[in-house]
Amino acid sequence: MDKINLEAAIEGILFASGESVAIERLCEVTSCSKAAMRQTLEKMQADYEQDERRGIKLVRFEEKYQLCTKSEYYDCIRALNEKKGKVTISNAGLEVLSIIAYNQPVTRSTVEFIRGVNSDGAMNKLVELGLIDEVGRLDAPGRPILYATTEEFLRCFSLESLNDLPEVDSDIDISGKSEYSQEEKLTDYVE
Amino acid sequence: MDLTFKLSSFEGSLDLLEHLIKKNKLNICSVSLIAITDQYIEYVNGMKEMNLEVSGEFLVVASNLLYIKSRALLPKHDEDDDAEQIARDLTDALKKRRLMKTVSEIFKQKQFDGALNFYKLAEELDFPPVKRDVEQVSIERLTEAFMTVLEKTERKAPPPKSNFEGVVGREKVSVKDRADRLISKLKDKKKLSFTSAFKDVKSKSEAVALFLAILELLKMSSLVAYGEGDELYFKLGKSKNNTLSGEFDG
Repeated sequence: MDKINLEAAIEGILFASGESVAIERLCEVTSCSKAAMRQTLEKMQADYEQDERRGIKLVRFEEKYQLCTKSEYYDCIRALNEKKGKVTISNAGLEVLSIIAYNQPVTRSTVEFIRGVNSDGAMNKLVELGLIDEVGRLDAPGRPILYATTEEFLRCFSLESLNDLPEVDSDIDISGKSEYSQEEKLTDYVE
Repeated sequence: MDLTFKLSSFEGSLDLLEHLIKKNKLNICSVSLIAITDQYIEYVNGMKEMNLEVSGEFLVVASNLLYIKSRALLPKHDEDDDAEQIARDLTDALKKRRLMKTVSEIFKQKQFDGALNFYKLAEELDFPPVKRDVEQVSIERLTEAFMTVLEKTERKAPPPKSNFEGVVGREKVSVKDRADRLISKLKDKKKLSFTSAFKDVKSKSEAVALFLAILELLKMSSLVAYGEGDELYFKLGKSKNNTLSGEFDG
């Protein structure tokens, strides 16, 4: 298949599929090598992005590819449908999600220990939203369930892969809580 | 009282440890843990004095801290010193907690990054119904089918008088006639099985005539034969010419 037909084929396949398609599958159905496929996909990603006449773009999630609409056209597409907008994640949910995202796979009790509070509600909600999922069990007493983020998580945060998670230095303390000055009084009391 | 509120606002033991580390302006490492052990114990005691619920977790961490501190103070005589591991686990957890706080803020903003894009869900693709095998069936298969029908025809009824006429003179069974009849039947029924095509055949001659008609119509593409399962079927072909020329009169 020469270059132009390959791009058209990919476009047709991704449109028909709807959901994301693994690169291996794309290679299979087009009889194309993985290297050539990857190169073509990267080119297509750039082309769609730069072409203002295109309202859709090609996105990647780890090894899977999918078409989606461009953000610029959110409003008119939204107008088509009265359905509820995307749910905002609660602060608790964000904390749980950040623990899982950077430490996956991880157990419920680890999440709870790091947070310091009960996290069942937040975790169940995240499972409901499809942002985290069970991925096995830890080889330890009780064989607790392990959790990890999903493809939907990548979609929601516009990430191509977990490698794209922001680099954060865990030694830096960002919270500038002023209440600590008040805590001085407590220490005096206790001592 | 304000103090009560503050004490109970610690979200777990790590939160308290973090507070103490910051208060003492320390970094997260095992040495720091040792340094804050006494203060931690005092806090926990303070909570108990105020009749606050002290969860088991606080006590576990308290005992871990004491263990780490005691091991640090005593000369090392035991190779199996797990105090270092315990200390490492605690410092790791503290670092993860700091990471969580930072990342939560980032995620709070970033959660809407993908909100403006629409995706299609998996679709049930509708493929057109699989075309039945409309390849022309082989002449062998046709012949085979014909022989079967012929047998059935012979067994059907006592040989009619007309059969004996063959001895005297051949009865004229028009192939063209059979062809016409078959075509009109197909126009009506759209598809016809081999067996039903031969249903009202009364004699061998008729069967032969019909068979010849079928062969000729197939050749002209006025008829298409195809297999479906074990049965053979006929349907009208693409050719507009559905009548045989006269020369096929048997």
